[in-house]
Formats: sequence, C-alpha cells, structure tokens
Amino acid sequence: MADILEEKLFYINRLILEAATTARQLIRDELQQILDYLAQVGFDPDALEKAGGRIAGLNWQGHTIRAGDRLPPAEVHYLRHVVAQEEWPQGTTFEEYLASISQAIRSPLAEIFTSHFRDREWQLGIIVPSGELRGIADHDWILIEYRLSIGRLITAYQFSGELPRQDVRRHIRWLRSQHRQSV
Amino acid sequence: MAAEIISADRIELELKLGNAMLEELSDNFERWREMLEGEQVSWLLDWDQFIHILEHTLNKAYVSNQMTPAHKTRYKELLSKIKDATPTIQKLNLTEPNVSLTTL
Repeated sequence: MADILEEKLFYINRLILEAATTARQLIRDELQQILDYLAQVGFDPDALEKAGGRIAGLNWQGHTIRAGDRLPPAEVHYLRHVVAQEEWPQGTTFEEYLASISQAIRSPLAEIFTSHFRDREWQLGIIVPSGELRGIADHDWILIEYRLSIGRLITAYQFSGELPRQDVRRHIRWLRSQHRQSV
Repeated sequence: MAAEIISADRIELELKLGNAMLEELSDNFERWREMLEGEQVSWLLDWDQFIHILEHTLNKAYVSNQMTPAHKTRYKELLSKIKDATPTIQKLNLTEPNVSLTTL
C-alpha cells in the first residue's frame, strides 16, 4: 500500500515538474489527476508546528493553547487563518475548513500555477474566489499551496489583490488561469 | 475610483495579527535552524501574507484616514516594532515591507 502511495506521489510530482519546467502542456486529464490528488492529500499528519503568538490563548479541544505548544499543521492553519485571523466565516469548524480546501481545489474556477518559492523548491498553487467563504478579514481569494518536496499541502489562506509577494517566487507558470499572466 | 472601505473590525484584526507576527518572528529567529522545512515554509508564506496585508490594508487605511486615532497610534507602534526587527528580518531573508517605517 505504501509503495502504491509513493508511486502516485512520484507520478503527480513528475507531472507538476514537467508542467513547471518544460514546454509540455498538461492535458486536461493530467491536470485533473493532480487536482484530485491534492484534494485528498491534505497537510502532513505526522509533522508538528509550534502554535505561536497568533493562536496562543485560544481554546482548542478542551485546552487553552500556549505559544510553545506543538500541533499538527492542519490544526495550526485552521486556528490561525479561520479562528484568529477570521479569514473564513465565523463558526467555520475544523472539518468545514478542510472540506472547503478540497472543494476549492476541485472548483472549476480554480486558477493553478507553479512557482519556485524563494529559490528553494517547486510549489503548485491554487487560487479560488473566496465567495461564501469570505470572513471578517474580507479577502477576495483563497490560496492553497502544495510543496513537491514534502508531498503535502503547506498552506491554505485568503488574500486580496494580486498574489502576495510575487517577487519571492521565480518561474511562475499558470497552468490554468482566468486572467493572470506568467511573470 | 472610490477608496476601498476598510472596516474598523478588519483594522483591529490586522493590527492584532501584526503584533502576533512580530512575536513569532522573534521566537522563530531563535529556533530557525531547528524548524523543519514544512514549518519554515508555512511561516514564510504567512509572513508574506502579513506584509501584503500591511501594505494593502493597514497602510491603505492609514493614508486614506480610515483609522481611529487609537488605531493610528497602534499602527505607528507596529511600524516602529518592524523597524526595530529589521536586522532579524534581513538575517532571515524575509520580505521587507514596502511602506515607510520612519516618516509617518
């Protein structure tokens, strides 16, 4: 079973790398395979991240979070971007946040790009209108990013305007876009 | 074109975010080399999001006079903290804000 998963990860990463680094354009089925994979792969369940100041003091699963606590990335992102920063509507649950990410990845409105982030590793990003998922922070777009070297999602947050800090990304290539252009 | 209206709730939210990010910056600087790749990159993306918000929400609210006097004071304090943290920001090669930290 682990071998099958590794093969799938290798195949998906190879497709993304080809799209990012060669002139080959993915066919619709290949792009859909990437999106289907990303929609179910989620954040790294084995990693832990430090909670930090943004979510210190929040109540979570019967405990008050301290800045030094270590939590799985999915929970850290939920608590930061949904609860503390109110990017999603108030009352959005952890399960609803994860479901909204999967739905966003599969949305026909999703714009998809690859980029080399901070000259380190390749990432695939997906941008979707926030729509009904807009919270008090009032952002227009949801950004989800997948990092090839980890084989997992590494963020899902909201923003407004242009893609934040394009200057720290190199070789941006849009695989599907309504109106954005490669830089 | 009419200026975007930025609510007081949103300004409050983003000021709190800014202060929390600077606390995290200080803490992460101490343990940067111990952090795994995923945690580092995730935080770098959050830092970029914060800088984007600083430039496009907080600074916009300030220059278009949409902040209360109390918010203006806290915004200036936030900029002052960022200025003080500039050596750390540069050591970690983080994105620096494209807003004046000195002339407000």
